[in-house]
Amino acid sequence: MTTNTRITIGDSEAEELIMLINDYSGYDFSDYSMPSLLRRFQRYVDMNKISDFKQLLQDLMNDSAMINNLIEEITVNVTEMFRDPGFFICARKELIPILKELPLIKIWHAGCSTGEEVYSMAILLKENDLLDKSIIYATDINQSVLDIARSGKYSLEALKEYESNYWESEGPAKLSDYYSIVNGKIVMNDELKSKIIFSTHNLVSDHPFNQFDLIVCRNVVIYFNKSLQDNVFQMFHKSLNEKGVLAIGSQETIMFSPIEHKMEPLNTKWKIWKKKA
Amino acid sequence: MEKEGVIIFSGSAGSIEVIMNIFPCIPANFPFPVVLLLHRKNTIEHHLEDVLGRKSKVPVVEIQDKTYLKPSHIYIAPGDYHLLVDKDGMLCLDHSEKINYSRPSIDVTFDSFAKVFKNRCIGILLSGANADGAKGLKTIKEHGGLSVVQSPESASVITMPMSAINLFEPDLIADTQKITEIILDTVNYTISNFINKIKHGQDIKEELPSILIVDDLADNLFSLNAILKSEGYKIDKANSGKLAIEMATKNAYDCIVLDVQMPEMDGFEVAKILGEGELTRNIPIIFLSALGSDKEKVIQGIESGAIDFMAKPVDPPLMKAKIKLCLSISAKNKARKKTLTAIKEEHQTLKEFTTDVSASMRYAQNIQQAILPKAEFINSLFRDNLLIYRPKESIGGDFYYIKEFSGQLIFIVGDCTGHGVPGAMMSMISINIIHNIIETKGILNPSLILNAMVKEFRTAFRNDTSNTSFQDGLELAVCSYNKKEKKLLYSGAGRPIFVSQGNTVRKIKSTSSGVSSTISENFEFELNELPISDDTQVYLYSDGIVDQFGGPSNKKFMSKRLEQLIQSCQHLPMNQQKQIIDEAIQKWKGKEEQIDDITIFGAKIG
Repeated sequence: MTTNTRITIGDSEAEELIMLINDYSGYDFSDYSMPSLLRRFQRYVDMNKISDFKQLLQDLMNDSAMINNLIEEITVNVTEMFRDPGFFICARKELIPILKELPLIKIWHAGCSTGEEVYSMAILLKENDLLDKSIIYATDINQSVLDIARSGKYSLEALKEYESNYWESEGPAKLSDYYSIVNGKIVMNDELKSKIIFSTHNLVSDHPFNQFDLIVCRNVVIYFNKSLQDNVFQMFHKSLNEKGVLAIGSQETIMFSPIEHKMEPLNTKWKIWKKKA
Repeated sequence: MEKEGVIIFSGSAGSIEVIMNIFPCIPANFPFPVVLLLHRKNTIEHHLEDVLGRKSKVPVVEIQDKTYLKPSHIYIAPGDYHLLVDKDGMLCLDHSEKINYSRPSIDVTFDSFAKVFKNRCIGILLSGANADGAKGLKTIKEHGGLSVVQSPESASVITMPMSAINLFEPDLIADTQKITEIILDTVNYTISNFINKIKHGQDIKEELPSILIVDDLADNLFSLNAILKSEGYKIDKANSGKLAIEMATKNAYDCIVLDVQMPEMDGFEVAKILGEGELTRNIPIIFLSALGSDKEKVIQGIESGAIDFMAKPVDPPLMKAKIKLCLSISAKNKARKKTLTAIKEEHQTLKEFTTDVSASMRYAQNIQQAILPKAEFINSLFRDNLLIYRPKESIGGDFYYIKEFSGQLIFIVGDCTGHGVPGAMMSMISINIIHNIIETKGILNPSLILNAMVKEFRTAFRNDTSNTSFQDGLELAVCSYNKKEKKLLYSGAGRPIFVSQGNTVRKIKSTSSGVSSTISENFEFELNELPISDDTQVYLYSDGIVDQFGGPSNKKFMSKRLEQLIQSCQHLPMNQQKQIIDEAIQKWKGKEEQIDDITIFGAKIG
């Protein structure tokens, strides 16, 4: 007899969980990409040592805090500072000149998770003297990651990697110019924070809420299925000012989506598009 | 949507040189997609795609989210993403936590592909410096896919292959050369057939149709061979009729092309001989003849077994078409033969099974008959008696029990639920219980015997804890006759009896309930004391006779008819009565099937 019986989350279990979450919280994950969702659910049951699926459903139905925890668990995305240094090189060379022309810069980081990339963008703006005339809206579905993002406090563990990313992204200064270390944590400078508005937004169900010059949404739509990707891209298109720019993840694409012909490519490697006039 | 099959190469440190050796060998029309998954960062420059792209004959592309795999492509998993696949075969990227310090993690990808592609997935784990991939490769094997590990001797870093080999037994451990050969061999199969072949050592490649061409002239053989070879047939040649017969007897050809005019033995004769052989009879033959226009020759050819005739010189397209037709006939013949063989085998199995069953039934019959009282024994107790015992099958649920105990004659006819084997098992149990009650406990009062049986049944079957309590039981008529006191007692559980006296036959009713574990322990079976005269005859019977269908309008025999039958012959000696009753039953039954076991026991007492 094994004392630690593991349960396997297959399609049918995942569908039951999706239905349950929808019924009890209103969050709809039915258009999320199934393979990732399966891994997320599996990770949840493994970490919580759940051995009885029926019991799990029972417990979730009786405990809204548990549902919220599950939602946070499946929506948390891993991010880092200056992730894909190549993208930031490209941003320095191709995006900054466009933004420089604008009197006021409005940026939307959709699905910002714990916010590392938002701060990276703020650093880029600061280094080009654009931060003062910028407002960055950083949104995510998950309240608890937003709390971390808003605090601007990160663990020291990944610092080495962030430093090297920054260096690789051809950063002109030192990353340490933009944070201080307090009680064993990195704390981002207030100046950066002051230009960022953190707020919850659900790409699945919420509507466009403003007009932007730049929307950054990297490695978020990979967690959605094709039809949800299409909807999200349409919402982005609506939310862009004329000649506004959309940056998505390097393995994502707006090709074959409804906005394919409404955008023109700025950089095909780093998947940056500009809204056609 | 492409989901036919997939080959995944994976590795880490030391695997690029292996890849560089294998991938350039992949032919341009390679029928499967190849995925390459290496531990690497999403660097600014993509050297690998460029280098591989220049060396490879098939296009090399980097995987994009939500796309499908296509055959004849090499797909490179992008760095910094896990590669997953959904159930329709759509590729999905994921940027969640690193697994085994890796993103992409080979375990993650193997696990996902194993479950979707099952026995259409080949996973290859190459050189590398950590344990990633071993678990995933095991999963591929467990889902019916093929697990291949680079042999540690040939790997520059052995950690990755060794982790797999230590964890489970991979289907194949191979060096670069061998892996290349395997990959190139897949083109001859569907991927699942290929995997099957490697796993079970079975070559399930379809056999090529085989054709025998027969002509005495080497030139003709050469040109025929040239025409047919391009069609992908296996071709054998014979330059004489004699050789042709010899070869055809050894090989099961799908078609024979036979020249008519040959020295020694001409084509017609060859065809005739082939037509007589068990193995060669059904091989379609096409005659070739310069005499093709001669009508009589054509008829002669067809009579001797040819299915077609072609004039020389041979027209290649026509020849090919005719061969195709022959092959389809041959394929049908083969399929029919296969079916026939299968039917024969099944028939044989069934026959053996039936023989087995009949043998054990015969044996069971012997056992049952050994338990029932013998005729001599019955005759010693009842001078004049009749017994008809005819189970529906060789064994049955009816039984009779006859015994003298303490100066009392006990005689019982019982009818257990069902017939055949289950009925017989019940009857054996019942006889055992009755034996116990009478001979061990000394209970001789018919009503009390029935009560005691109920008690026994309740203990025997009530401890059955399953929710469907065992409701089966039996009906029986129990008589006891005290010779000294000339006292006949009868008690019935669902089985009435007939009593004949003088010219009258009376039916003595029974309690309607039979004996089973479901009735109450205190249930009372009515006890009847019957007056006796010198000519009193008693008849006990199971319901097999009264329920038998037959007669002019296919109705049940009914107990009324039995009563009349007894009345008609009651004055006769019992052995004659038996004959009359027997005949009446047979006549009534006619061609109808016997529906239940039939038992009648009659005895003259007094």
